[in-house]
Amino acid sequence: MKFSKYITISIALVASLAFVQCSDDDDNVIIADATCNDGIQNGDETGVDCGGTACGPCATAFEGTYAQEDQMGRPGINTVFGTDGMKDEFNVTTPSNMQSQFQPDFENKLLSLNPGYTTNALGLDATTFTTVLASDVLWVAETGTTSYFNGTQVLTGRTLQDDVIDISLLLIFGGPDGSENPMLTSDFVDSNDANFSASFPYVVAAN
Amino acid sequence: MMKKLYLTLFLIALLNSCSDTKHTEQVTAKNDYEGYLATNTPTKDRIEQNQKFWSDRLERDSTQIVALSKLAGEYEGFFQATGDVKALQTSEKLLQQALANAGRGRDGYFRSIAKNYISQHRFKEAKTMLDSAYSYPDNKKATEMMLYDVHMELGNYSKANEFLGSIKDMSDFNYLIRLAKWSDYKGDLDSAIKYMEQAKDIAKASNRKPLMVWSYTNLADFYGHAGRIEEAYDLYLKTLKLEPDNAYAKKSIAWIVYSYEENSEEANRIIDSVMETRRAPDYWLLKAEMAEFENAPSEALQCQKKFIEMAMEEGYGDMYNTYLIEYLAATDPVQALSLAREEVSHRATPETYQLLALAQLENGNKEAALSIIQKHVEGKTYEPTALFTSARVYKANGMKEKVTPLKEELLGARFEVGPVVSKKIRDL
Amino acid sequence: MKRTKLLAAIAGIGIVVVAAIFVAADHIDAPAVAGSESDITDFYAFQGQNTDNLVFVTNVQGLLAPGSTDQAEFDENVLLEINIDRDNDLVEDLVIQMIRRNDSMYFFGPVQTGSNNTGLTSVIDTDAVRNSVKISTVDSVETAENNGMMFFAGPREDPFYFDFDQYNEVVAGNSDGFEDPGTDTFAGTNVLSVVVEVPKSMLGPGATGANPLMPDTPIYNTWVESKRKQ
Repeated sequence: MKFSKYITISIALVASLAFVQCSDDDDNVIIADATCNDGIQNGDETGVDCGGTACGPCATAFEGTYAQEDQMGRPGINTVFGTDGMKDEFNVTTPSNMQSQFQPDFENKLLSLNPGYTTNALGLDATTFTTVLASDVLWVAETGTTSYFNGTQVLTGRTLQDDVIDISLLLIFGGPDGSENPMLTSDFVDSNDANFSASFPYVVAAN
Repeated sequence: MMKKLYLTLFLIALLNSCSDTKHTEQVTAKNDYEGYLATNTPTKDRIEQNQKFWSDRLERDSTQIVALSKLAGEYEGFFQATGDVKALQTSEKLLQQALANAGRGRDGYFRSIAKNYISQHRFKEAKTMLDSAYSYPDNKKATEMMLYDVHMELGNYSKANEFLGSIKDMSDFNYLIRLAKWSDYKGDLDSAIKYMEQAKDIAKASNRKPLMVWSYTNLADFYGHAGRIEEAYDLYLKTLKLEPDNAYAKKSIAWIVYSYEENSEEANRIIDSVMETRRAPDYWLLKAEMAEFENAPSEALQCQKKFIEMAMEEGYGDMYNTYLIEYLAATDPVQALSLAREEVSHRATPETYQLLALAQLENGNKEAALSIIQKHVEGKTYEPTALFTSARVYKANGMKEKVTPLKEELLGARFEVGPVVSKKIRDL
Repeated sequence: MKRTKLLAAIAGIGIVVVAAIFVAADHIDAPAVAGSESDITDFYAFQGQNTDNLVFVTNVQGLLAPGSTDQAEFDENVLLEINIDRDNDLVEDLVIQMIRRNDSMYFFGPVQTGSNNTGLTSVIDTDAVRNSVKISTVDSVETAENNGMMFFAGPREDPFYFDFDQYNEVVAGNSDGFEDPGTDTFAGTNVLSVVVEVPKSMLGPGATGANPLMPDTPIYNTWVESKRKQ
């Protein structure tokens, strides 16, 4: 039964509140000779040479603490190896803690996906392979060609062209020489539906 | 909430409401919203384009789980944009197919289906879906948020409160809007507004339209409850600036024009423009009430008929049960009673119990009505509809001392209940 | 009516419908982030056209149909942070912090990390070198270049390709394997991309031995994080 109280109070406040509410958007007047590098706060700037309609945001616009929700290194790791009940935690575990925390689960998951796993085309047994994967960072070569796998380069980056799904499937299901489980070692989609650009920004126009 | 009262005005022959003293100041201005009354439908057009994109894929391969899910989402959006309830059912079917095909992430599909059921007011089934989702070890927090929502609807308030505790995070938009809802349920409108304002600030800081639209309209509603009409109006306008075809904001402005400014002609003009692009029974309710206000009973009767016809259409299921019970209480009390009993069995909330009490009252069982009010409504809700019914039941039972404070309370909610019902409240 | 709307709409916020459908290289991601704008769909790192540079591509909000692509917006409460570890202790030594303000994407760094931006929480290092690029739309493409760095942010064709639907059929036990030819689930869809190209000289030397399969190649350990304002 608390209605009337609010109404009385709020009617008194209506005018002033509405004024505050309306004043934050429009009505900016920019003074013609104010610039964003004159060392003084002028025009509609909210700080010295920042804020307002003409200048970039002030440092205060970036304040605050940001807490992690998601992370990603190699493609599909959480999806493929994330077991029920661990995905949330995986996304908020720092890479330096991932191996001790998740490697055993990854190994179990690998062996449940492919019970016949011995080694893969890289010669890695289940423990070694999942040890590499559990620390979910993307290796990138400082020098030379970068590729997820191109025959000579192994995990030295990830280009837009790399068929990361086939590479992953092959390493999980293909056995030592890649010939095992032929219906599981490729999704038979070999390239993207659009060609990438050779120059920045490399990714191409939206459909 | 306010519109739950529309039908009560059909219960008794009406007095001339135009003789009410006007208290209004002009808040709205035609020029503010005239541009938004255009009947182009950018949202609907976009959704139709996307529907085609995803359904073309399903034609090639009907098992594609991504297309099933995405298309379901588009149909849900289509319902929101057009009011076409069949789209909601199509969405449900697509989600069920997706769930049947899903090899992973099944909890997510259970939640999606639950959301669809909530839209259809199938709360018990929604809870069953969420219980299934909750049996999976992942995404617990998302499931808990929805379990809170559905337990609130079902009247399981202590259970809802438990889930609210488990999702607590004062920097989380999703938590704040639920905390606001909890505060409102508790009758603490100040806190409800405070938390909804905090959520709005997060939405505004995100600078993402859907979140801003959602929080602007919901905060505006709370401002309306509190009688802060100018602020409410300002937020509805801000909503339309972001989303010019937002029907909810337009309808809400129409309510201000009618209830606060008592300009039913202009309000009707706004509603008519909304009805050109969106179909929903409740527009007819609003028009019916405005006809009553204009002292045009035959027009009111016609609008009321249109409402009933539409609300009884198969697709709406239980979605308009509360309105139907209110209507039937006056015209067919026996049926109203059976429908109210059914509704209470679906969800035992103060709001459904007050409908049961109303139906009992209209069937001449004033003692039964009183017992329901005392046991299930009194002190358990602050909704004007429930307070109004309570007052009527007390009056019928000769408990004048109970009527007076409720009457005062309700007269303070004048904007929310509208001029016609306000008049009836004064006559209590 | 209002109550009903509140409820129906609450269920529609962020956490629900999309939870089941956000897939990409990190196909169906974790709950707290699934369906939200902080959900990273892909991360790429490769040598640029200018081989003295490295390129980092971060994608969010995948599976956009063409009709909704221009509606997709970066969330200004979400910080995207590229982490670079160059001494192979799996702790970031450098970060590039990326966040939207109004119509632009702002980039801070690469900058040496301190206690403020290492690990699971970060503040933005506003003392670091700041760059920005206007966020592109489908039709209007904007890039920026400064000090040898290049910047882009906006909707792009999703570079990821995968027969996700058939993968689901396999996982669901409905099929024994993939189909030849497969169907690219991501064909024709778009994603929000942030691309930054950085001279390697700004990153310093990597560590040999980090990648046991290429033990002589100097390597950076890289990953991207999304962090939400508290």
